[in-house]
Amino acid sequence: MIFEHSCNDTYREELNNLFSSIILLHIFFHECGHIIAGHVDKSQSLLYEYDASRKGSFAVQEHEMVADWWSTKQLFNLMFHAVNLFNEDNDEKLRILKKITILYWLSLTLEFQIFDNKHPNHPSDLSSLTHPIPTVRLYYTIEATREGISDVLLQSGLSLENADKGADIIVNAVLDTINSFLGIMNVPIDFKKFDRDVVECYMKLRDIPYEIPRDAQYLHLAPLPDGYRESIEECYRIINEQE
Amino acid sequence: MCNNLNDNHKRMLDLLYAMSEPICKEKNIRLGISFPAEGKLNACVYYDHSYSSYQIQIFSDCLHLFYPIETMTDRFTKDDLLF
Repeated sequence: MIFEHSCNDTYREELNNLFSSIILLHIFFHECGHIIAGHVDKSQSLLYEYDASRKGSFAVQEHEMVADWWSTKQLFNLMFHAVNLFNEDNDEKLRILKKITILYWLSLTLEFQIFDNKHPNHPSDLSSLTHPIPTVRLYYTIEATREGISDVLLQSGLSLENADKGADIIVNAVLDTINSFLGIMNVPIDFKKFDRDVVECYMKLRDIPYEIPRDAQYLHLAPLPDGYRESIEECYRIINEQE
Repeated sequence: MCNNLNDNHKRMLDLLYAMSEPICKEKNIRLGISFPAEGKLNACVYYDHSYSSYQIQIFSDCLHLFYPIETMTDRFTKDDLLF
């Protein structure tokens, strides 16, 4: 852990210390992500993460998504190496992967909520925001996490196909736990995996760099895979039928 | 006299430098990191031409999140944490 702790700390204090550490690392690697993605103009003055004078748009939010995504993948890689996952047997590896995924995702829930409280900006028109709303950030973090886990499993010697399958299994297994935690956390985030507005906003952010040619100098996520929209539509259809 | 606050910040800075070193090498960029004492929940990044390096500043409120976290996690019980 980064922050000081004492041997008298309770289990929960230790956990909150761990959350603080992960949040600080995410803030740092998020800023690194802006550098790597080319968002920092060398002729420009300081780029503040939260700046009331900064004009928002979906293109600006896409920059934040790329920085979050890059940070998540870096941190997953670092965390897995930190716990020396590669020497563990498969069951232990799976247990640790699930635990790290839950801790990481809960940390980001706390971070986004704390920053959102401090810098409230909720106009009815989401296109004027500088950062995606916390629920959207949490939604795409699941996708970024899936990629991060898949990368680690690949490094462990799995084939690409099996690494992707393994990542799907782990992420799907932890979603219920994460939702349970949201129920007892004092946060107003109502996270539903298939909330249509959230998914639509995420897809909009993924599409935007391919609609704005002038943004070609920046690092972007790849276009959404073929069939992604169809899968989402199929999910909505099933949910509607169940309701 | 030992200054615990500064020692702790130095330890954090050392860790962030160590963790970002591989990527800085890979991308061939120079990075400076600082924790300005100004009490803001914010971070910023810019390019410092005098040092030919990117500078990341993480303001001090980001280092003191324990209380806001505690208020959001105070309903956690030990059983909840055994996931």
